[in-house]
Amino acid sequence: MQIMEIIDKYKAYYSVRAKKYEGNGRYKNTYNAEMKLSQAMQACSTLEDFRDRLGDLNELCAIALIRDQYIMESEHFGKHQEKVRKKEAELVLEKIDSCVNVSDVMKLVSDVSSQISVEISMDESQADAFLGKLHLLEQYLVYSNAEVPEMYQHIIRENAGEKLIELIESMQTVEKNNSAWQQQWKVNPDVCFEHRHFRHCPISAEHLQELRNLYKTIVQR
Amino acid sequence: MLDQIVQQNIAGEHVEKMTAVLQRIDELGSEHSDFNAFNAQLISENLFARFSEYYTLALTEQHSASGNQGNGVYNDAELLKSCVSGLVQSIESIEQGYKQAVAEAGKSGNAIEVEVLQNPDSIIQSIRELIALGQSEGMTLPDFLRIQIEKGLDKAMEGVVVQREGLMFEKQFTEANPVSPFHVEEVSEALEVFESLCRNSAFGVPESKEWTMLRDDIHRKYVSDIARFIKIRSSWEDILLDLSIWSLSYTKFAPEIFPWAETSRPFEAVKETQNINPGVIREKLKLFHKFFGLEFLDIFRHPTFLWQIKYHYHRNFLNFRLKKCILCANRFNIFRKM
Repeated sequence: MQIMEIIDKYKAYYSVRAKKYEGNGRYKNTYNAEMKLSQAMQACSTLEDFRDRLGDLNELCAIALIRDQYIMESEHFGKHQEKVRKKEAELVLEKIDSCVNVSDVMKLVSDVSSQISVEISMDESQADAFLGKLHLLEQYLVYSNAEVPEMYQHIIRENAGEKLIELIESMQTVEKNNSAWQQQWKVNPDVCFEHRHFRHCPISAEHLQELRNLYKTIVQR
Repeated sequence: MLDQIVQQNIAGEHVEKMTAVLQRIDELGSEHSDFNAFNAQLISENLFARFSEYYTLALTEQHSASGNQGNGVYNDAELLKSCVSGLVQSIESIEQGYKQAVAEAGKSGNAIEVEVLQNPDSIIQSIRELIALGQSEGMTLPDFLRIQIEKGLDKAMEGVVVQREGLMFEKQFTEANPVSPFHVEEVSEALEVFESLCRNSAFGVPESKEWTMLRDDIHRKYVSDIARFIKIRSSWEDILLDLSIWSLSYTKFAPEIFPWAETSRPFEAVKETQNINPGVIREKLKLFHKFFGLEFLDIFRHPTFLWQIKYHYHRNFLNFRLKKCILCANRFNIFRKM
């Protein structure tokens, strides 16, 4: 095959790469970077030209793609009030300009992602610790308030006591486990009223507040 | 990964750093007896990421070094062959990973579930199409790369090409076992949005990140309705179960059946149920009314109940059980003070 034929095929390839992102507003930076690469390649007439003109244009395409993906993530989590998850995108976008090549960007992404994944897990634990235990609070209320004949009262109150112990022990377990990840981590049911957690709650905010107050009294947090 | 590097005779600064990280992981392993604390330390020192980073750098350096050893003459056939052989290797590693996952699941008796749900045939099929394209007569590397994009085959390794199939499976699965109307709506909407995204993508295959975000939007739209639906349903299921057990306790054979027969004193246990359950049921009904504004008889008109009747319960069985339960409950005035 003639070398000119190969060169034309490469030009077609780079043109298609750019076309893939054409008109897609979510990949604006990627499209611009791919266009720069394609334009540089269209001007080549020898394979040596390709090597010379390529420079860091290919790397810049990869970085632009990562930038677009994090812009998307930042907007997405911002729209859904996911303030903890949004941090990863914010930190990467804040520092991506200081990266000189793709390896730098990958290292940045890996470091930020590890750091934020711990914060996300800690935040999710707040929901598990309180919203995940609503059934125990309800059972405690049922057994505490149920009217039963005198001779059966000790049984029903024992059941209520068991639910109290379950609530306290589950709080102690999660605090112990999470302190290994974040020093002095404490359960805080108030966090569950923020949209990212409250959207999973099946009852009204008013009723959840009542259960939150009861929970705080029981676990002393 | 380190073994693999050593087997390939790769050495240098990055390999030394990989070894140092691995040694640190071993040290921590002997220091900690609690796996959670051990894992936390690994994450806080970023050891997994650092190991992976040095691994990538070691391979990249090796690749650059071998690339520079060439004679500078462009050899399209060799470059194409190298791309295709990478794809062949990827199939081998996917198949190996699948076999290991099935074997691992087999130890806990879940092999069939993993075998079906993690079956990589679809993704392997799309990689095979890529290999066939690379091996077709007269193929060149630039054509191979261009056609991949035009046909969306470049997404094979991301799995986007099998997304439609996955969504169709999810839709059929949800329709066959519909937990709530919201689950059905959610997966139908996801499929529609996916098709629309495909139509609007330059070469018919969407970008994976874009799709992930849109799929998450759809999930978030339904999550609160799903949570409420499931909570209401589980609340009345719990109440009806208590009621059912309570009414059963009045049968002559109650002490001889579960749950009473399991206790050390079945006759006393039956009496306990008869005396305790009414008070418990009344309290559960109070919370049910407080949280959802629903009375006992509202259960049978509620969409969650009608959904269960339509898709999950046998109407005759339910009618029989409920009529008996309600009759019994009314006779014993279980709904007093409601």
